[in-house]
Amino acid sequence: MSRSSRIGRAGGLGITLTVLYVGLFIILPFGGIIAGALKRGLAVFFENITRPETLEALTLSLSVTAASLLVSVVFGIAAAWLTAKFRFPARGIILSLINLPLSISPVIAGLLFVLLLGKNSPVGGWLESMGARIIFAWPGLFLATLFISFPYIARELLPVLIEMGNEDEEAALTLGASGAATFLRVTLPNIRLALLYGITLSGARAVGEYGAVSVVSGLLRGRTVTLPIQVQIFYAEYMSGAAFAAAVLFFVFGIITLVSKFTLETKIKNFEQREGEA
Amino acid sequence: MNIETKGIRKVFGTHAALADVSIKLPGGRLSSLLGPSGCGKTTLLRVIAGLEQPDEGAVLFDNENQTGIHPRRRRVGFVFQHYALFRRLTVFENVAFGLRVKPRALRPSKDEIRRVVHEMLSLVQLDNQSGKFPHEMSGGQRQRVALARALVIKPCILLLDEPFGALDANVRKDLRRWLRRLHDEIHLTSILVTHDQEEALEVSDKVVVMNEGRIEQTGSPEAIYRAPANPFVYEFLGSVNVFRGRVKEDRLVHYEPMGRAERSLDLDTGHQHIYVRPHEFEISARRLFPEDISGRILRSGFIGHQIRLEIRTGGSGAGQCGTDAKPAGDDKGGDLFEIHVPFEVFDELGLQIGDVLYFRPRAFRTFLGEGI
Repeated sequence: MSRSSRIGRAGGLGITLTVLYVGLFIILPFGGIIAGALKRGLAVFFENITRPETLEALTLSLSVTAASLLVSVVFGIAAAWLTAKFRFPARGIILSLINLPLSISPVIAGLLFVLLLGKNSPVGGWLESMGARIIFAWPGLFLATLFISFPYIARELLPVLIEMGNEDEEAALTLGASGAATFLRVTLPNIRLALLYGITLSGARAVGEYGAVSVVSGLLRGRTVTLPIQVQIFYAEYMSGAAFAAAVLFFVFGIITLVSKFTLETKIKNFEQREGEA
Repeated sequence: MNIETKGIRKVFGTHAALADVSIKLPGGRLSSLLGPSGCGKTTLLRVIAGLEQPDEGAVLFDNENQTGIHPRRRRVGFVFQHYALFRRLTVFENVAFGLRVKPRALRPSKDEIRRVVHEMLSLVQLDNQSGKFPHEMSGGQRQRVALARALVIKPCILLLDEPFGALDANVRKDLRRWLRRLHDEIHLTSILVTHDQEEALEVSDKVVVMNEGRIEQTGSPEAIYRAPANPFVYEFLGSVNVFRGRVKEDRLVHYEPMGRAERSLDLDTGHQHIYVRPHEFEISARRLFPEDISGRILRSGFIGHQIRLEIRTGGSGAGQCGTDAKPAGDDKGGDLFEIHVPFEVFDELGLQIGDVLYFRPRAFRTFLGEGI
């Protein structure tokens, strides 16, 4: 008896529901975006997608994402490593702080930054007097994006590091390896896949961040408008063609993320299978 | 290299894993730290390696204090129970690790690394497996890779933390004999942590028996086995029958079954706790001496070339020297004895389960004033 013929009625219902869901909530909207972008033909689409506002917003989004990813990787590894390998008084606090950004609304997070670092706050006022502007400028976008997207890397690494235990690193230590050599040759290879996976999740979150960023952005055109905000602006100004064209860029990001996520998952699974056989 | 620990104390939370441990282990020998799980033997090994900082006390290598010396610089080879091989590296790269991470000035050339690694792999008889990954090998092979990896840095001391604990019984026996032969070849000061008394007695030159963070006894395997210092050591080294009785001039003259008198030791009547190993009994179908102990055979079973008998002596009033055991129905009280004899000996007697058996210890030990 083949597997498919044994799925039965419940399985059939499940499949129907899944297809309906995927069709209604994923294929239809994405199809709508692409159709909307291409409604007036390819030439107009290219004209729209190369509008200066769109390109500026794209560049800004990419620079903010790249910077926040870089910091997330360093901070995520450090936080996960500390909390996985050591028991210390502040450990619980660090663990809850890692989860905090996932449990509060991004808009609230943005507001927190405005209250803390805005012109009228003590810290922000002092920084302003030093000539450094955080809110309504690139640093603010960066901080808001970082806050929203950093937990993903730490959360991916934590279970892997805990499961790995200390023995590999202790073995390296007794063999004379320095801390740096131990990290590069022993720890990093063991967490490599989880790290890449965390980076794709964190990157996807950072590129698409709207709520927190829109609060700290101030919507200064050409300076603090990221791609998601630009899409919203186009749409609000009845430039749906430009909005759809810019949205297609997100579609491309989404595909890249999905493909890399899928590839990594297969790689992890294959590796674990090989380990399991031994 | 001689190893000495002076008054080592290590507390985890409220539990004292090591309470004032002082030992001296001779250089060039293979010593064992033997004890039940949780006795602190692994903690002591880790303190010696520098992987754990003692709360008090010091570790000395050839009279040189190691306090504050990083494990990286102690030149100690450490073999872990679960191998701790680097899973993304091949066998060759695992063994080469200790050479590759040396500071540039001390690092051997590529050719030299290749030569040394292959030398180590042939030492552990795995030279043809150098391209494999750890997960492609058996447990015994992995542990040999771990050993080669530890030896490649030319350590002054080799520390083995239950290295055979995760292996099958047969592999474990082969590997520990192989380890002993290897030790006889290279004479590296080694410490083996184990909870397996057979393993400790078989491979080591010196055995340190530990319990609850303390040293119970130190000595050669033979001394430990033949002259255990206290009831704990005696019982830890193998099955044992403990009963109350009176001893006169190295002979057991009176056996006092449980349930007749209270368990507490009554020195006025000369009763002591008598310790006898299962194989130290002689058995007969009839009473040969007036002080013979008698009891009914409850069960029998083969253990290799010997038969294992479980015998229950009669309780209250019965079973004392000179009286026959009461019928098996009167089983409350009395003692359960475990006796091992060659099965030919048992066959000759022609006895069945339920029959009465007479037995007497050929050898025994007493520990004055110490009970179980």
